[in-house]
Amino acid sequence: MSGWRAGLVALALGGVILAIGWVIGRDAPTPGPGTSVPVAEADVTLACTQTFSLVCGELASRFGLASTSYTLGSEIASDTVVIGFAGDLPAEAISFARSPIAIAIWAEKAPRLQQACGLVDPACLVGEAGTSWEELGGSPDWGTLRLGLADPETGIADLEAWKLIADQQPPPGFRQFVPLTSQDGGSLLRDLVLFSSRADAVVSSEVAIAAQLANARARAGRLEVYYPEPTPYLPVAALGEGRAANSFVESLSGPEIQALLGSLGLRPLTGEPIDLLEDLGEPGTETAGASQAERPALVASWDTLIGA
Amino acid sequence: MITRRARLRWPLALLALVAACTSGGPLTTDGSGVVVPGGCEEVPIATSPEKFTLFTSLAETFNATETEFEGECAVITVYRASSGAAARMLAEGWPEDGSAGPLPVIWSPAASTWGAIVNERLAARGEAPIANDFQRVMITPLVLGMPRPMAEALGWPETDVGWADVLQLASDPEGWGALGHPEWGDFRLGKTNPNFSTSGLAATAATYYAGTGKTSGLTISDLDDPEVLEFVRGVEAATVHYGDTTLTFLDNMYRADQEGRGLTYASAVAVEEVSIIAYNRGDPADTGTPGPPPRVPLVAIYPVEGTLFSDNPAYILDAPWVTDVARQAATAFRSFVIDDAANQQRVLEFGFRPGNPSVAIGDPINSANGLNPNKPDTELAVPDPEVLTALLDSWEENRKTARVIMLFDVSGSMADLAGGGDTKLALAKQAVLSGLDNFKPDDEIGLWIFSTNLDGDNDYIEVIPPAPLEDIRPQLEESINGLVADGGTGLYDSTRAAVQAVRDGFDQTKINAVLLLTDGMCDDNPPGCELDPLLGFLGSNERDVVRVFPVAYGEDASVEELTAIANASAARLYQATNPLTIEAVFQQVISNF
Repeated sequence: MSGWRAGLVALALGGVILAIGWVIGRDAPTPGPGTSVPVAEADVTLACTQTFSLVCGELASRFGLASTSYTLGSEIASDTVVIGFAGDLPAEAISFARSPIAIAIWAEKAPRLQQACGLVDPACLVGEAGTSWEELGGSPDWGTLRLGLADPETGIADLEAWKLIADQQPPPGFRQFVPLTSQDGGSLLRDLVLFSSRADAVVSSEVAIAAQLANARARAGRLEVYYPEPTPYLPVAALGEGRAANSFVESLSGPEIQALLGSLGLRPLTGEPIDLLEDLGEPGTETAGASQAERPALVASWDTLIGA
Repeated sequence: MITRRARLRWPLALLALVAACTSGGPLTTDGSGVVVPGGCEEVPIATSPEKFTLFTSLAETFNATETEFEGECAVITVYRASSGAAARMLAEGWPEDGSAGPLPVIWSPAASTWGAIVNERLAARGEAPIANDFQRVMITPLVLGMPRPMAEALGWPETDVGWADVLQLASDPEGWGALGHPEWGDFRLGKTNPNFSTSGLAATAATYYAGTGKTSGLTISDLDDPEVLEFVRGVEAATVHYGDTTLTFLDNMYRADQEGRGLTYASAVAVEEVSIIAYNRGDPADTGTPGPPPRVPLVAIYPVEGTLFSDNPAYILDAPWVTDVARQAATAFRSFVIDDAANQQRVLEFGFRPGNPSVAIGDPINSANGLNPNKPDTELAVPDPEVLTALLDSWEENRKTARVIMLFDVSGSMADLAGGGDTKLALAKQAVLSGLDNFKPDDEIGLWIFSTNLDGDNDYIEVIPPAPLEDIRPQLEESINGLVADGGTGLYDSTRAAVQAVRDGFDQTKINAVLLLTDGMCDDNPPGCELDPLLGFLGSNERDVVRVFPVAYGEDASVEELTAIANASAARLYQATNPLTIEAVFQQVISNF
């Protein structure tokens, strides 16, 4: 449901809701685009894919909401807000933030790769994949440079991440240098932390990386984040089912939650983030992502080089 | 919106292979003893055995919350199910007689590759996949468990040790003498059969990788490389015996340790990291009731060439028998186990690395237990399905050869009806004949039979002396088909004679063993049924050990006596209490060779 529709519905039902709220002792939210609503009192469940686990977890914790996992394409339960990339959600989802595509690499290895390539970027990853770390100035115990990627069929961010690699025209046999493949970006980062010796670097959305930065530190080591030049950005959106859920969706664009975006690993649709997680950096120049026309070829190239 | 389409990643050849290799694999069902109240829905978990105690404990806590789902109560119950056997049953049909426990709602095999196998096998029959929705509960890497003094002799912990060191030591005629410890004898490796065991499959893949020097991208042509095969054969040559479960090795090692012979049974065992902790706690079989800690603890060698992880997924099955209430309860339980940090701490306490990345790895995965939470440095990539198929074929050709006498009970009780109108003897014959397919052509197989006074005073007859199966198969099959039941059970002197015969022709390059199948207990004339002298004889030769793998067949077999016989030769007892299970059990026994 779009914002204006939600507003009309809320307006029409406002009196009744307030009456019911008075009767049962529950306050009814009074939403409005860009306003600071009493989100702490909204009776909704937040549903996120693994990629947005930090976003859902933090918002739920801060506002006393329930949170649950969500599978893209599945039905949205009543009184539930789904948060995801706009490109993965129905068109009526409301964008409230954005996230660039980035590269995460284990911190001890990052300087070696930077030294070898000058820049840690997709060209470097593709060019040096399979090169021994000893040749790259690292420890022979590290083996060879190995990458992790997510299936681009799953979601728009994974498609954009793959595009960055595919644009470098990886050679036949590239798959042997990509031992870590996951079904989506969130799972990719989770797997990287769980199986820290499986891959040295991954390409994914910044928000997926952000979700695992603290876990990585606690579990295996620090991850360093780099950004391609130019950098694709993806809008992040929310879709609610039910009145209270739609109220919460509206509140995501309000100042209270917009001020939190940086701590969630997200960036505002315009302007600079406030209190961005410290391990995140400055993306490159914003660029458009893959066009609709490009997508089938990208998926086909994944199937040929990695997934088939 | 981009939606995911279903993919087929495992070829049918692999599925067929796995089906063949795991058919008849074990499925032990020990329910957690929970009584499901009337009106409540049971939500069964089928878990690989090493997680049974942990899941039982977590389920108990969860059930105590008495959470309702859509207004109904649901109770989590836990059943042991080995990964391969459960995969086969989920794909081919779960036994309706309850022998394998109830149909699972949650399935937790040792590795997620088993889920892919189930889906592929269902797809091959045009059925929808059921193992789709999974999350990792815990992970644990494959390691080489070594007695601490032996690891130290190899330079551990300062020096990284790997499969190449195993090969070098195994190939050295001096054995441990090359490192100043001739008293430890040859280097002996405990490694399970990769067709049955996830650990065995991981260890086998790791040795092939080590032979190539690669850490990913193992190819079929790599498997034909003479240098790689030489490496693999060298490692396999050190194998004590194979088998379907690592618990056999750990149990035998622990028993030897408690008898003050901890360095004699095996120099290293390829096991999961979690098993090292269980062993060092004095509970190698993970019974939950530990004995004394071992005198010589094990330490974990994370092979320098790299290793693989068991990722222990929990699937909520997309199966028609899973009701909405069961699914909700299963989802809640899985979340309870994975998302609740306190429960992931319990996972850690059991020795697994938590599947929730927000929970740091800590005690007991520490140096005091001989473990290193920062290892492995290198993780090996799971080979592509077609490579895995070829790898298993290659292993069959290059594994250690066996030299086995099958000692077969033909006493009168074997003529008893066993169900389905067949006698016990008829079922056993069929099991042995089917089992012959699991030997390789150059395995040397002999056939002895025993009852009482078959050959004068001797209770046994050598029907066919050990010879390569490819040379004697028709003769062997004819002999087995012709067996008839009569007489008593001259068990002990027959066992002794068969072991002596294998000892007389002992071949260091082979697995030397006796496969003993009996349905009764010794009823020979005195003093023929004194057990201690036989046990003393079986344990009298630590260097050239002939292992006796008894099968307790039917309800009257003496499990106690046969366990003692198995233990005395550091082997393992197998039970086919229900004669109808003998074919499956026999395949488990043959997995040792």
